Amino acid sequence: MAQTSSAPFSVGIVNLPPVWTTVPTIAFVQGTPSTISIAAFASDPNGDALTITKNSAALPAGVTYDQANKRFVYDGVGGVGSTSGNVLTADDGKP
Amino acid sequence: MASTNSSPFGVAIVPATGASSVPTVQDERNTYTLWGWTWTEATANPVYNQAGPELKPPASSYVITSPDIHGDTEGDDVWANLQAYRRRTSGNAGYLQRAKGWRDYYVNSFENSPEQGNDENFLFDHFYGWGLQQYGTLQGDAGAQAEALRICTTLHDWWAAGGRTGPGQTWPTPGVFDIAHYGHRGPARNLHTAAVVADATGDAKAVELRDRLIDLWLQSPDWQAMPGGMGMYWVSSDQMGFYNVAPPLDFNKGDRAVSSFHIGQLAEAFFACWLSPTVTQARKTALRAKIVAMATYMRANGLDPDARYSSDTLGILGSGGAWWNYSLGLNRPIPTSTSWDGSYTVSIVNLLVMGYKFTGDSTFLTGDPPAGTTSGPYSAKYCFNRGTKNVFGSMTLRESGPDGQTAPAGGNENVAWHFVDTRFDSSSGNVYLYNNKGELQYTYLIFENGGAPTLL
Repeated sequence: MAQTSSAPFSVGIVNLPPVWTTVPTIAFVQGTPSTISIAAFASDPNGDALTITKNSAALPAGVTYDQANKRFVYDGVGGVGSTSGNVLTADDGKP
Repeated sequence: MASTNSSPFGVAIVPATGASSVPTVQDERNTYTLWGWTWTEATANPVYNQAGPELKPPASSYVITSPDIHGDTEGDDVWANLQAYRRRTSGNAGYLQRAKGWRDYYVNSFENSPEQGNDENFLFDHFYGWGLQQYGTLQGDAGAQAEALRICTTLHDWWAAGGRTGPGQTWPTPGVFDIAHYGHRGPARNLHTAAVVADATGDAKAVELRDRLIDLWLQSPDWQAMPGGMGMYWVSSDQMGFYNVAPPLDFNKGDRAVSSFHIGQLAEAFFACWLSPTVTQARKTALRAKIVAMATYMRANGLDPDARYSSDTLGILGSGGAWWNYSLGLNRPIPTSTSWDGSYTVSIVNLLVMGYKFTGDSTFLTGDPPAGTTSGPYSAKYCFNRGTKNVFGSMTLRESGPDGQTAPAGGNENVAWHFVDTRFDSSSGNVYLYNNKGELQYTYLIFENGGAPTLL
């Protein structure tokens, strides 16, 4: 039997994009300084570290987004209020 | 670069309402001082200094494994342990461990465990979400918030498909649907969850579930208004039969029944709705009237006048008068009964405090029955004292020492032998708060402002 071989090729790992689960309304209790992490809502199928940025939608007074620590921070001073249209983007840094 | 956007979401700062915090241990101390009671500091705080391995904080963590949610829980254990933690400034690490242990169970295991499906078979009557929601907001835990929302959404979709008449149906009809048919705790806990999640998130399904359940309760044919401003939701004939009261009661002759702790659960749910900033004023006015009427009934008829405990079930007779389980027929005279559980007496304390807060009538809050009688009115303080010092299985023994010692009635009742979240029951595996798992959940309002609750 004649045998043939394919040309040499390399096995690569396809980079898959990050995956989100639904982010609920992030709620703080007025007067209680606290933080809420959103890291658990995004994951990467390849296990890559993620950078999570926030869009420009306004936050209630007293609430900020801490990108380095992937969390929202409430200073305990801001009054009752709410905003909508917040969107986070998870990026694995790979093409 | 590979990137993905989340779905849009809201960010909110919500009011710190009575539904999310309870009076502190210092308020409890101040209340006892106001009443002229004594206590020792060792009984107040910290609980984990007490002897007994089940009372000490775990070495590293507190893990909930394979709980019997339907069979063993009778309160929201995330809520109870979270509030016990928050009402202290020291000696509270074990409470937070336990709150987190329950939080971890719900977030990581509950949905895919047999427990959720099993409780669905019982019409979701042991489904708790308000503690998870409050844990999420107070501890900054989005995972807990997400699980609370999932539980609430599950309840919404079940009710929207007909609830116990479904699936494949639509929402039950107010005015027709007898919401207390199989007891109050299921639809009361469902309402409590919806109210707290709706306040925290504004989620459309949570708001819809809350408002529809309010309307089902307010218009339920289970409600009976009675003379003297009293009113009560009674269970169906089917459920009354399950209570096995002897001699048997007869629904067709006007006999009616209710569970005392189910009413305690319902009062908490109604009160959470009344506190909500987004419930309509019309609904709040009607909820307030129902709370006052139920409190008025319990003030007059909450306790058996002989034993001076509220039994697990109680009600009225069509022939006139009120009854309490074990007070009819076979178990008289009372001292021969060994199955009385006086713990249920604490179930109506918060309801009576609500009656005071809504009316300013101090007979809801303090006072003993008139001299020479053991008939009502029964105040919140009186029920608190009777219930927290009860001894299971006995109508004559009373708690009379800091480590649970007992003695015949007649000793010094003006002592707080324990604080409301410092006794535990571990007989069913996990550690639950003492007295039907509920002294804290049913009594915290009496400590508001050091025993002087504010009027609403």
